[in-house]
Amino acid sequence: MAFNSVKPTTWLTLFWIVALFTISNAASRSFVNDFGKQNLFYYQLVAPLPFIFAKIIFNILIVWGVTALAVALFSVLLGYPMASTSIFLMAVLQGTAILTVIFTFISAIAQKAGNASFLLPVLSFPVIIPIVGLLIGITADAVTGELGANFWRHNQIIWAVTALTLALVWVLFPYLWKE
Amino acid sequence: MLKFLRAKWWKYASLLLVVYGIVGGLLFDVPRLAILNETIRCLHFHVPMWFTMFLLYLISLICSIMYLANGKLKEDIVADQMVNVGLVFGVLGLITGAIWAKYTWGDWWHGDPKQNMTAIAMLIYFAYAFLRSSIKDLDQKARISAIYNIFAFFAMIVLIFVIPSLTDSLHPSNGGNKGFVVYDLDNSLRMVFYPATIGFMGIGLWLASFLIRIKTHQYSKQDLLN
Repeated sequence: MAFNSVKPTTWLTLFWIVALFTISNAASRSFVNDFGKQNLFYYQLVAPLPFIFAKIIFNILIVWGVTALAVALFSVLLGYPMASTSIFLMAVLQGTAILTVIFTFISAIAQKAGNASFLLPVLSFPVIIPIVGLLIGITADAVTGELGANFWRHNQIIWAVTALTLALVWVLFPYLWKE
Repeated sequence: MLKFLRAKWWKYASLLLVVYGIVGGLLFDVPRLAILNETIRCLHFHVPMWFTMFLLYLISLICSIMYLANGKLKEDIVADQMVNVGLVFGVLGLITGAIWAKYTWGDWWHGDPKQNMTAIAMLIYFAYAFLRSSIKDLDQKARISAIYNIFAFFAMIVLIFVIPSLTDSLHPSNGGNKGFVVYDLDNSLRMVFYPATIGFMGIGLWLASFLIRIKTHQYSKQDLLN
């Protein structure tokens, strides 16, 4: 098939762009769609921290599901260029998870500010783009099947950013949630 | 904070320091180095801009945390105006850096990791200003933007200090380039660089204090300050 002649870098870039829009949609749906009364109901029913972490876990599961579908479709249409599936799997699982955490938190901010569908991309894309750059670097190692010189340092940064974001969500979300 | 901003002595002192920094930076003897030549003078103008921006964002972060703790709109005004002035200094830092890059690296925008990441960090703070402009209610605006401001500060730290350290960069102290420590900053440069840095920081705070006074006046005229 003519489709199969895509270069690995193009494959990866397309894949992360698809993943990015998947995550952005999933995360914005979790807050943007529950306006007004439904939020008031949750507000009386649960504490803020269980609420936001439940949203985050639910979003991560959805994103993982959709990403699995995307990988299957990509493999059928564009081929599967990965030499090392384990590196690819690890990079995609942790990468989509951190992106989902950030998007969910920022979509909560955007929803509180009103006009969420407009604000979400403006507030989140500057934060997201460098992380996607790191992830493309990590998944490029999956194509060659060998760990590059910067592989573990990139991973460390991803983990550190995940920990930092979770800590910020932990501290800041209760302030965002109260009216 | 506000009491310090109202005092006069440090404003005149920093004005003197900046005049000394500009005159000294342009006229004093500098070390002769190949390629750099006279462009080394850019150190006195480029680096203080970033230090000032960082100081202003740091004050803004502290005020945002204090707003979340005590809910006073005054803290929010300070946080907001510090970011506005910080953005001005960030843009000046990018411009002075671009001028320097044109004459030593050969291009206005070189695509150096630190350059790119700093531009992205600036976008985050522009997003902060945009977020503020899109909320009507004052208390809502103060609370939501304080939360985003805290988030933005940590994102900026990661962008400017962590990610560029991964790759080789032409900026000092990144990826094996130790220029700043070893030979760049000899004593004749230090004598201008440190006063100029302190002076520009003072000018930044002075500008912010003007904007804060204007904003405070607007709010108190409408009886909005509690």
